[in-house]
Amino acid sequence: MIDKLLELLMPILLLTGLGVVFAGVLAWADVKFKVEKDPKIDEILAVLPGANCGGCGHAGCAAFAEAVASGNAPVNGCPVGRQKVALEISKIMGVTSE
Amino acid sequence: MNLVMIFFGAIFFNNFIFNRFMGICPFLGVSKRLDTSVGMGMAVAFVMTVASTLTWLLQKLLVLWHLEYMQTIVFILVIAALVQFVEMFLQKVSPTLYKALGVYLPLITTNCAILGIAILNIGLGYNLLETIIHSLGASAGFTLAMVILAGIREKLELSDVPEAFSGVPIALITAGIIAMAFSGFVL
Repeated sequence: MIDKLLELLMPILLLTGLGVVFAGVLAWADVKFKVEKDPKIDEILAVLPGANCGGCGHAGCAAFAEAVASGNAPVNGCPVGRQKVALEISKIMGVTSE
Repeated sequence: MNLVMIFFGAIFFNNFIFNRFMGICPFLGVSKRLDTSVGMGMAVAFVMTVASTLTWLLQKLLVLWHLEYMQTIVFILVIAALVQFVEMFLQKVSPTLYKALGVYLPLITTNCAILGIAILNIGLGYNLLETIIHSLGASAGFTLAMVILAGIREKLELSDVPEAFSGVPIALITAGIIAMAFSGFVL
């Protein structure tokens, strides 16, 4: 009985352990190799629906946020978020969405 | 002597692209320009060598715990984590190369040459040193193949290729001809 249980537990433990170790290393690398980005990108990304639907014509919400922050996409470019999201993005960008 | 054979064997006789036909996707995708192909080769070399070293050690653990059937999933986890690390590192150190490699950088995760070499090293029963030498040779062979094709494709850009062949078709034909040349290396 114990043997059977161990047989089940070992792979779970192994993968969890590996996952934790790799997550730790990657978290360290994330801080160590942090790239200074426009803080607006993260702010815009936070108000977007995050569905990554591609309805705006960009590869995903992150790509759209980057394009808006660099002025290559309109603030009301998200068809899912409609007026509400457009308003919030325009607040971040400091323009009116009319 | 054996190590020298393993190293050069992996570059010429068993070239991962031209003889084993692994890693064709980045081979065709990033070989348009010489500098990006060298960058890709370096990224693959790093992931390949570190991944096969780590997987060789993990395989010992798997055998010890009788979990050999977990080999594939554990190896993929190691490779995915390493690729993520390389991506962060490159984004910091060389944003131009990061942009140039584009989607092919995260796609190293699914580059079968890397999983292939990790499993091959186990299958061939190599020890740790042989594993590292074999991976270094294989990644040198991969880089060599990329650089050869990129050099030819840069010249092809300027030459008059029939319309039906322009772009990827002529690159595939070129790759086939180089592969034939590589099949001339026989021990």
